[in-house]
Amino acid sequence: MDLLEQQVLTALKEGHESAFEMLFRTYYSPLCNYAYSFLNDRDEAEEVVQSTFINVWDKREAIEIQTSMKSYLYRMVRNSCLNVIKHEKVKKQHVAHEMAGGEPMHEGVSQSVISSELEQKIYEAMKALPEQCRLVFQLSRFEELKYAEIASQLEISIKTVENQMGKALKIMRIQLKDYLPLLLIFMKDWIL
Amino acid sequence: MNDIDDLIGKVLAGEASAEEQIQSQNWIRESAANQKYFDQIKTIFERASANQVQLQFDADAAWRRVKGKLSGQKPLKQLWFKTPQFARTLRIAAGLVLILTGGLATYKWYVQPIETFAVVSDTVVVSDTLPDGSAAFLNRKSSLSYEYNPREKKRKVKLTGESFFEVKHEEEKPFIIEAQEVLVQDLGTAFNVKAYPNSDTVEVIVKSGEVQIYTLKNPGLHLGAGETGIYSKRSREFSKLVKADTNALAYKTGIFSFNKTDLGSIIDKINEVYDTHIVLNNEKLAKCQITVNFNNEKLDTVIEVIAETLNLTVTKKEKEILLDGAGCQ
Repeated sequence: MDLLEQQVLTALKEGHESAFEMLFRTYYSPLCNYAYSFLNDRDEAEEVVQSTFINVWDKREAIEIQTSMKSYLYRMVRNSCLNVIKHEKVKKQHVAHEMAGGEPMHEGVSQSVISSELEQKIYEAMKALPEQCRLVFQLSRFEELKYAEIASQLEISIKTVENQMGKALKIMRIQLKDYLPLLLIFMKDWIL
Repeated sequence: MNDIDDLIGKVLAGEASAEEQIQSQNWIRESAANQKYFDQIKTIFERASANQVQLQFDADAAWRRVKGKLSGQKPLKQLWFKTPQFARTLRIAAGLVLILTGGLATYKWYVQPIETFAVVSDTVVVSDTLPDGSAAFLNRKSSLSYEYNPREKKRKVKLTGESFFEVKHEEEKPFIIEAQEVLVQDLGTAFNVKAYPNSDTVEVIVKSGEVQIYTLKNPGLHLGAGETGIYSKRSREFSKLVKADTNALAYKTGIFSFNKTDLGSIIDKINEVYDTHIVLNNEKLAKCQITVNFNNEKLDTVIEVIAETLNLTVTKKEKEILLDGAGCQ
């Protein structure tokens, strides 16, 4: 943790609301996007992030951070999201809607990340995966969690994690088969 | 073929044992088709990205919501509104209210959320208007949280530190302040409450109107205009001050009135209100008495007047202001 972060953390622990506000305004939007990648629902994402921050404030005196404020917050949000998913059904309608026109749910409040068509397709395929498959894939690929950690988080066996990952890759490969051969010719050089 | 996908998955995720890695390499080498199969999956894995769209979220609006929930204790009712299920019930019920008319008290109850509001001050005096129209003027390092519960019909304020209140009196909605352990109920008023956590006392000064100050165990006192009530946390007793300190409200009004007051006390008061560090170089100066009034003056003016009156020199240093002189007698 760098010096500035250390100071902010100290100020937070002492109860300075201004330090807390700074953290809030800095991380709110990115954390909401992050939560959205799990929950596929804007309101729920905001709900989770706000609850997380309030939690941080309530427990401010006892916070012990080994890594950085940022990873601490991300980890808390991730755990909350997984908790929400455990207790709620994922809204398949949202996913279907996103897939249909490729349009974001709310007009004018989003901007596209610049990416190739392939990446867009991969993203859509990923979002359409069965919930547990998608979660396992996300946690391994983006959160870089070990299978053992994923197993523990989702309360499943490591074998199941292996199967779900395999299934995710299998489904996506079949879905994207049509896009891959063409591009592979051009990309052969950089893959290896 | 699921097994090969599992295996490839492990390899790509870095979970494969040495033996498994050899196994996969052997499989890939078996045919061009296998090689292609592997490449396809590897591409998918590597080119997958978490976000295709960066959604915009309104941090300002969110902050206002969160800020209101930051007091020390969360009222139990707030928990209901945190769960997604209840929030949905709220939205549904709100829709229903539009359609249904008349006499459905239960729906009305669900639809009216608890209003919360908070004000915090740090190094300067802060004033704000509470949702009910009452005004609060906070001295430094103070904070208050306001909550109106439509079911209990009570306006509740929790105060740490010091604040002056001008309460918009409403008969059916009593305004009650919780200051440390003391409760102050407005009976149509403007008054000041001083409740710093490390002080032994909680002080209430009434400017106009009346208040009742009490604790859960002690029926307390009734205070009228111009009266000051003091509660001692140690002895758990209330007492009334005979003479009100007219300068206690100085931080709010910026009006000082010193009548043959010794300089030591005056400097203390000014330091408190203007957040300065004025120091008397000569101990004897502390006992000099002066009679002087200030009405919303700038600090420089205040110091100038005092210096002129007592023939003092003023030296401004980085963190303090030094007053020096010969003394009075």
